[in-house]
Amino acid sequence: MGDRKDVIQGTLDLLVLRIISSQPMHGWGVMQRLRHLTEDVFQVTPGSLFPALRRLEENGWASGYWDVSENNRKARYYAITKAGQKQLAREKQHWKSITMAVEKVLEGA
Amino acid sequence: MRRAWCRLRAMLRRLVDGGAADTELNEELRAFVEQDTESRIRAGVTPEAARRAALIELRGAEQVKEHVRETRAGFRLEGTLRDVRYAMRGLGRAPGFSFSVIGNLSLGLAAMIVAFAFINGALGPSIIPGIPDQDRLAEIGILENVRLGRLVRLQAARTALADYPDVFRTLDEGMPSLEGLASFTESDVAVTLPQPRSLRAAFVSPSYFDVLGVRPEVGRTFAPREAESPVAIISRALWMREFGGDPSVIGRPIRAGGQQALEIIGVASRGFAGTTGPSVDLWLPIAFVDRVAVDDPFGQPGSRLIRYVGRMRDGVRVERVETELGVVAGRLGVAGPAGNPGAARLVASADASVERVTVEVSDLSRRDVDELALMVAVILPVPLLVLALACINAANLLLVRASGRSREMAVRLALGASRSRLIRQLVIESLVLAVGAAVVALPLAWSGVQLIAAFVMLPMPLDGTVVAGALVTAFLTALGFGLVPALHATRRHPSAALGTAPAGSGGTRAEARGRRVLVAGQVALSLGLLAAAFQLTSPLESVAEPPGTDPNRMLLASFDLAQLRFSSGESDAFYAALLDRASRLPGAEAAALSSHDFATGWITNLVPVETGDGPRDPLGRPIGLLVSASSAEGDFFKVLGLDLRQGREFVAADRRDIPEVAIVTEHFAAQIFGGAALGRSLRVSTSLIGDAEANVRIVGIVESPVERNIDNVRGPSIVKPSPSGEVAAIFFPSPLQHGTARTLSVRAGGPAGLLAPAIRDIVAQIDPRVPILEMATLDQRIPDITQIIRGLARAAAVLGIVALLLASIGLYGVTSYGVEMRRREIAVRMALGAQADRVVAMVLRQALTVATIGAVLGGLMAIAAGVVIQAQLFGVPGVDVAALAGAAALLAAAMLVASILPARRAARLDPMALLRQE
Repeated sequence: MGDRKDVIQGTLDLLVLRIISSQPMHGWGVMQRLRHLTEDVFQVTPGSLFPALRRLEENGWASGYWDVSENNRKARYYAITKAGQKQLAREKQHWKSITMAVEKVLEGA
Repeated sequence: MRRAWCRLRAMLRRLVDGGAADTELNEELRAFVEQDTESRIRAGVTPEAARRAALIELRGAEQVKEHVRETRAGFRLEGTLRDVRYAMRGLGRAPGFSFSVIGNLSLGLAAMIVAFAFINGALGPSIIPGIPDQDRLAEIGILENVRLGRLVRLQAARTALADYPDVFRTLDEGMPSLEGLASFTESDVAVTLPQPRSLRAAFVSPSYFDVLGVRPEVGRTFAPREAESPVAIISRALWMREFGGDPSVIGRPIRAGGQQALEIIGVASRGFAGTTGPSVDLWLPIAFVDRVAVDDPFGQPGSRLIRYVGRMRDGVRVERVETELGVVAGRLGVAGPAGNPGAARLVASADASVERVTVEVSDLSRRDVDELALMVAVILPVPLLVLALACINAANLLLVRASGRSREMAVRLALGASRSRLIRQLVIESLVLAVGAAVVALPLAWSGVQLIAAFVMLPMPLDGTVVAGALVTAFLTALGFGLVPALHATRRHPSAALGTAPAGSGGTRAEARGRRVLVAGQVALSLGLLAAAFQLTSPLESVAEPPGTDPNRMLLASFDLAQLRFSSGESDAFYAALLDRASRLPGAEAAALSSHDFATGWITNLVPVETGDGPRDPLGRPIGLLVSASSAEGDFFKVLGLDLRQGREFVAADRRDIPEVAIVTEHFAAQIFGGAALGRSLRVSTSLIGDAEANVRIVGIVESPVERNIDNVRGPSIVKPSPSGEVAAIFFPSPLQHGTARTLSVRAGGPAGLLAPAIRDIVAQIDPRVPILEMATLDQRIPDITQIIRGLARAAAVLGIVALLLASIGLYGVTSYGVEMRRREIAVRMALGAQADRVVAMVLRQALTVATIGAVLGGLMAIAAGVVIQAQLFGVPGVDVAALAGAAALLAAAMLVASILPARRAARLDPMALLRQE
């Protein structure tokens, strides 16, 4: 797994929030989508994904509910809330400013 | 903000719904595995391989769950609560263990709480009730330096009342650092409410209540112009006691000191009872002191002991007050705090040996803080020792429990629980035990405080500070006794306890010996204390009862007509009528009056007597020997049950202003005259200062009364009582000094308490203004020494029982631990054919050896203590074999119980199960 990186500490919440912001999704779906979107670069384990989902829920950024999945199974879905959308926008802005700053340093040096 | 609220709500929801969140998480993880499996099957993997891969992907449901729990809000609190619940369940399953530890610890904690309450009461900041901001009050002392031989003693100086306004004004004007200055002087006063009462009264400057910051509960305090108005303020306690808290008491007229009419204008706030020792119930303007108060017995006429107290302005330090006082002192003509000598201009004193007068500033405090600090230092080691023993016992018990649970701990360590987690859980278990012990300890401590409060005149409130101190102590002790066993229990490597290694290797031989020595010490201590308690209790009855009197059949009522400012003629008339009416009372066998209240002890009133051929000082002057003295009017000897041995009793014709005849006791006759005393003459000084004198002839000899308060018999010239307590006493037909105080004693055919209402009626009929100072039967007024012995006996008994309990629990713990450590050995022995009773005997032998060594040491200690007690307390017999045997029997029973429980447990071991387990 040499080319697969652990998600940078603290950005996992941002990524999960972004994924559920387009449509409500269950845990397994979030994991698959994350792998797919990052082309398997980020290694997300259930051990870090489920705590992240719980964190979002407890902060009021996501709300969880039970529903039936694509293959007719019961699954717990997570949907982004209004507060979550605001948080996502804030975090996005924050992330952009950081990456731009980092880039400037790297390029400038 | 909103986020914090969301988290808090989630946390609370989880606390309420308990396991629901965990169930939901389980479901969710199961769904995850199923979805993953199905997607792999769709990708062409076989179902088994797919499920395996999915489970691997999850990497352990438990670990995921643990991760989730850790992110949750209130994770720590939740964990702690779970540990507390777990600990309580575990302790509930081991009631014997929990009971021993809690009982044992509660004794130690209770001892500490009592000590806290004592220290709190002794060293607490606000020590005079009812006075706010007490640290800003300063007492201005005017002190005489009295020379007694080579010693110079400082005593409060008296002020001539004529000079007082000048002194007060000079002090008040000369000390700008004070917000206000107040003065006061105290005296007992007879007051007609209209019920006659003797009250402690303070005669104060109008500024008094303002300076002290005491507000009126009802009505008002003194106005500045009321320095000479006939107004009075009463205490809240008196208001409740005598007026039932009736607010219409304001404006009511009362009479003080017999004649002076006064009007009640206010009730002082709750708790305020003056600033000195005795509780003050009445405040009057200082101008009335000469018209109302009893004359100062030690001062010259017209002088009073007036005290001054000032309230310092905000931010003013005592040093500045001292500096100002130094300047003012120069103006008053006395020496300042720095000690400038000066002439005593404004101070009147009866004593010619006053060298000079100084002034000083001190805290307004009724207690000697240094002395109390010393008491605390002396007393504190006792509860600390009890607490330390309790902790060590608790640690032993926890070790026993821990070694029984070593397997559980090993399994949990092997399953991945962290050591810190296990230690935390064990310490929480200790905390639960400590809190339980604290809950039990509080009522225990409360009764302990009651016990001690009977001796120490101190408020010992069990307030928030004390309770907080108790909880902190409980917390610290929990760490103290819980941490070592917790470290010990989790130290071993899991494989050691799980594998075949013997599970019983906790503690070296030295540790085991240390534990046994400790238990032996506890046994010794408890035996010593118990024997002392028995020794002090057994002779109490014989000490309490004077010969010839049934104390329950004697009623004593005391009077002091000086409080009504009666002349000696008026008081003689009152007492004559009182004696006459009391002796004719139905149910009274005899009645008498005496100038001395003998219930306070005989040796408390002494006069010097000289025979002319007695001992002389180097200058050839006769040395007066001090003997007990009293007037004996009416049927005094009959009331006391003292038989006349020779001569005659007094007759009415013997009464004189200065007595000419006397009756002495047999012990007096033997000590002063070598036996033949009848008809001999003596010179008697009427007071210790020795101004007036009387020459008396001995007309009778009576049986000696017995002194119980032997502690007062100190000093070279006192004629000592006989070894059995017989007193050398001299009686006169009328008081030596023209006293206005008497004690009426009535001997009844039955319980004397029934006569009390009749006596009250008689007094009211003769003069309704006369208050009875104290009325009680003799056994209600058992002298202090008996109470002290009784108190000591009770304290020794309580400590002895505490020590016994501690020793029992200690022995139980050590023996149980020994059994636990030797389980394998015992199992092997039993497998090889040892009988159960032999196993019991083996365990008992070891336990009782420890107890016996302790008991022998304790016996020696008890004998030593007995000798000391006999030397210190008069009337207590020496080492009492029966008492010692009783204490030893009690101890033996407790030790047997403490060791038989673990011994029987050892015998019940199933050898096969145990060996297989190993």
